[in-house]
Amino acid sequence: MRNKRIRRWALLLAVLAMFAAACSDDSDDAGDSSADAGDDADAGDDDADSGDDADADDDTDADADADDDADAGDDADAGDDTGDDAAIESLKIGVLLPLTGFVAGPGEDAQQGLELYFDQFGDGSTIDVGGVSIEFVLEDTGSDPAVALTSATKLVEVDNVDIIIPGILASTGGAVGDALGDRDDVLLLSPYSCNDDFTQRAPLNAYARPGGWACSQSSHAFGLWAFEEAGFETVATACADYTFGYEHCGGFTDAFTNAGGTVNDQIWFPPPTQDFGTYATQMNGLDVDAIMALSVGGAAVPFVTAYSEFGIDRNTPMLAGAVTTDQSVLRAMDSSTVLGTISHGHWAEGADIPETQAFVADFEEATGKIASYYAAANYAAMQWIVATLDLTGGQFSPDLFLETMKGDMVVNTPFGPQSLDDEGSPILNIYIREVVEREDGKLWNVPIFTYEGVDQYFPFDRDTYLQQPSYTKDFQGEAVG
Amino acid sequence: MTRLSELSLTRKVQLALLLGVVAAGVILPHVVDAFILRLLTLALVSALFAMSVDLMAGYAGLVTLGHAGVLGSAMYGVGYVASKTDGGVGLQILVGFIAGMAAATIFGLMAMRATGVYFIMITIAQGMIIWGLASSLVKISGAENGLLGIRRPVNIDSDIRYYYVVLAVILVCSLALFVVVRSPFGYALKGLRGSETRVRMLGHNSAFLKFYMFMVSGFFATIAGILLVYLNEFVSPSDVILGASALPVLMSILGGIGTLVGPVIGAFVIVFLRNWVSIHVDRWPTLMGLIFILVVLFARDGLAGAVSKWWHRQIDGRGSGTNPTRSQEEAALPGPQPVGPS
Repeated sequence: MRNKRIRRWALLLAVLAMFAAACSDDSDDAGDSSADAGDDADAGDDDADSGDDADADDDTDADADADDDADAGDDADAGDDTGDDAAIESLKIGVLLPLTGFVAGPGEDAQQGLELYFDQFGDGSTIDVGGVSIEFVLEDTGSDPAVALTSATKLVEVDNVDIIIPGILASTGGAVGDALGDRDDVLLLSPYSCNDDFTQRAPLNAYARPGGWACSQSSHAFGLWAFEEAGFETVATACADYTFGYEHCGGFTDAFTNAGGTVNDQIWFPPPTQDFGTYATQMNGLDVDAIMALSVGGAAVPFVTAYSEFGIDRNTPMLAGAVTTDQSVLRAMDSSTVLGTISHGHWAEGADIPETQAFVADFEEATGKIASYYAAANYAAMQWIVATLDLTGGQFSPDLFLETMKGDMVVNTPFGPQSLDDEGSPILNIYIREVVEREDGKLWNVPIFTYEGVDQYFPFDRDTYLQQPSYTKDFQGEAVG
Repeated sequence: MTRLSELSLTRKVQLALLLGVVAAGVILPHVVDAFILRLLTLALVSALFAMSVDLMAGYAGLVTLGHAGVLGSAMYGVGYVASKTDGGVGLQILVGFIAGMAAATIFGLMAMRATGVYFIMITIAQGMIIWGLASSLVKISGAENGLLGIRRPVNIDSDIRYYYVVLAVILVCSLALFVVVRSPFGYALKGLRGSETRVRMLGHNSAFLKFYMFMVSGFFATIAGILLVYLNEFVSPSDVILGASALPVLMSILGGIGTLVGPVIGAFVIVFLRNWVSIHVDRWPTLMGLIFILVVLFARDGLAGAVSKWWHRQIDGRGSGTNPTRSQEEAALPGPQPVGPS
């Protein structure tokens, strides 16, 4: 009896210890954020009780919340006083990122990219641009659009943010975009989720993609390159069976066949596939010049490994999708399987561009990792926001911001120079990249060919392109059945 | 009709608690911000879904891990009409209802002869089928993009009005479930949990019983689905993944499986833990896991069971125990009376 009781207490203690372990890291984070909130309150409310200052150091979360609310209230007041295109005192950016769930890895990179920008140009939590204080509020999407919707509600209703970055996944971007589509007081800027139609056939309200891309944008250029520059005539595709896969591989197929090539076969596999044995056997049996392959996230490593281990790469080179050899997964790959793989994308960490190399060096110094596209995209989005605020002279309204961004602005981001077209989709460099070993033995993507000034329709004519439906499994361009 | 004075102390407390909770439900939306209001609405909808699952997992002892398939079918039914056609709200709800009930019927026909582990396996497969369809039928479901453009009916568009609609529907449904679990059908379901062979010996057709169970449970899950899709104004395959099916089971276990109040408590705890605590704590899944460990270790009957146990110990300690012969299980909070059906 006593033994049992002792065992029970031991278990309880163990569980409590785990609780403490779970919270210890968090309490650091929470401490940071509450301290930040305390700072804001001090800066913003000179007439606030001086007692606040004493509290600020060991603020509890609840206090921090109260401070946030107070700030938010002030913002709203300022907005009401002066109407639409008003000068503002602070700009709040709500950032939704998958910090848990199956895209938590990229989410972490994205968070670090964002924090790097605030560390470099501000005090880590705020940036001052011509008297306007920019700050961000980070929320977790759990890689789930339903959770993202709840988090977005919190950002809009409680934190009163002006701009929202709606997560990494296309599905979260779409859900949040749709939910906030009726509101004209919140601007959606999406450097990640790239659904073609959001800037094409079904444009969202108050939405643009500074620092981002359209899903089929880079693969259009890749298809053209594969036929014209690399001289491949027959190609098969092996792509993840979901929307991003349809648009990404559809872009390749459409441009490749349009240029004169033939796509013989299309293999689709579920995005989370880990065992590629059966698909590798299928690919081995194909008689084609090359295989355009897209596998995403955690599935990319086993895909590339299988491609090499089944000996497919000996006869048929892989043309990899933009995220298949992205730095976020390349870190985990073995150089014997992936070295020399050709891929494409709007991000190339090995590009010989001063902005790119400066960012990659800074990011590596801060985190010890070579920057992935996810890290660069948030950084670029922040560059865009700051540059736009500079141009508007400290004024903000979603319409004004969109108008300014779509104007003559060119921002020199780590991706290279970027501007936005009339629909809010970026015009940027597309790199055809090769995986090579850096001097220190780490793998990275270095451009071997660059298409400059690529817009979302390239190489097609805008009006003809918009007449065809968006890419699905059934529609991969005119020339394919 | 028993008069108030004849009720035992326990019953009086239960009644007072119930009235208090309903009153809080009516007043709360006026004192909280929009974010908490959304969480309250979400928790109510999750509670209904969890109750529908608990009818199977708790009362009949048949754990289902595919019920999000029913919920999701209703959501996709509403979503399809709303975003791909120009059908009105009436048609949306009708199609959603038919889709949800159709899924429940098919699920029921597939699983009515299964027991134990095999039942769980079949329901997992059912949930995965709906997930597979949702992610591959691009033209109908929009795949990973989900269905956009779903809007609440105009007159209940505002968050606070929608909350009251949800609250009213959930109260009615809870009452209906309360009646169901006390009906002969409800007791037959509990018989299934005890021993399916004996239920058959008593002359029940256990396969039909399970089929009816799917229909009744599916009916409430369908209603939860319709409420949820109008709350989110969005539906995507992540609403029908395995995790979405497991969540109501976890809610039931956390709150107290085999009771009606348990899933409600569990739903509120999990929804607020997931959305509200996560604002302050990055590793909320760890916290949630630890809370589950604690509940399983120290409160086998869930939070409701623990509270009820504590309460009975208190009044027994004072020497005014209601009915010392009551077994603990039956004493679980609004647990059924130990008298059988007439």
